[in-house]
Amino acid sequence: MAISYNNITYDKIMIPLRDKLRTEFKGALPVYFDSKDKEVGNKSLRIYPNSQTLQDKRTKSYINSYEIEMNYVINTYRSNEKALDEMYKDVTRIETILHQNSNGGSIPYFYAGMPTIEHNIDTDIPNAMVSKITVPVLYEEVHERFVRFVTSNDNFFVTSSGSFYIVRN
Amino acid sequence: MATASTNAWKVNVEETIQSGMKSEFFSSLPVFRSRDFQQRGNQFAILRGNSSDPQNTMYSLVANSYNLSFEFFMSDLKRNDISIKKFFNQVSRVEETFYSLLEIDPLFNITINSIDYEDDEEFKGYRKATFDLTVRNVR
Repeated sequence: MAISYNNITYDKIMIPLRDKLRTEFKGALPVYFDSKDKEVGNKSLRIYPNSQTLQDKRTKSYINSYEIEMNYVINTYRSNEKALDEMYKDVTRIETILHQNSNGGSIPYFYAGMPTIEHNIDTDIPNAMVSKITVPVLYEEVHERFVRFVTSNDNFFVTSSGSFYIVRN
Repeated sequence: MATASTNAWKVNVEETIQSGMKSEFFSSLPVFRSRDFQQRGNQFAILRGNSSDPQNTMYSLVANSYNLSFEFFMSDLKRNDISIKKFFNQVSRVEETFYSLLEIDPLFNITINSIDYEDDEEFKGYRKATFDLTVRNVR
């Protein structure tokens, strides 16, 4: 019997974050998931998780902090103040969106703190300015618990394929 | 007469994890015990024991915390949204398997301290999730 589970990182962390940003920027800022920067339009935002760390483990649930990295990329052929201002403006707007949507509503996530921002980081994309925004996201997942079925002679039920025979707790 | 002992790393820890993964994934996620990276197919995992810490050795039972890494690799040649979703889906399924299935045995307690996500040229197109595990086991 397969266990039931959620695609936590993608469905509970990345998608709500992307949807919030897409709703705000309405196509003016393409938002995509990838581990590497791509050349997408004049400006874009890449989202990808770096890691997750256990915060608390309970009997039937666990709480993780997901470190989500976002790279804001704006193309510019020369380093001018106009592009710089636009980058600062958009990054501040993203920061404000995260602050205003720090709670997930029906999804039990929330941003564990304000994002860390680094401007002018190195990237493989030529003629571009990049800001890196890193935000910690907390999420609690409730998991199933099973017990072994113990027989009267102190053995466990085991199926012929070698898998555990499991009974809901 | 030689002392009777159990190969705790193998029997109590690593084979329990392999068995739990096999119960959930069958042959779609082979779990190998190896020190080094070896390419084993589209999707596989490498289990590596790092260290163990004693909990209490003054009783008739031996209680240890075993620290391991579980490296999950998934080949991703498409590099699109769907393949990223599939990767994180498998990561969540592995995580759930650790917590749901492997703790059936009351003497086996597992904690996933962290998961690091990597994606580098050296993995030949694989996405990688490294689980940092601590297993508490009594024998």
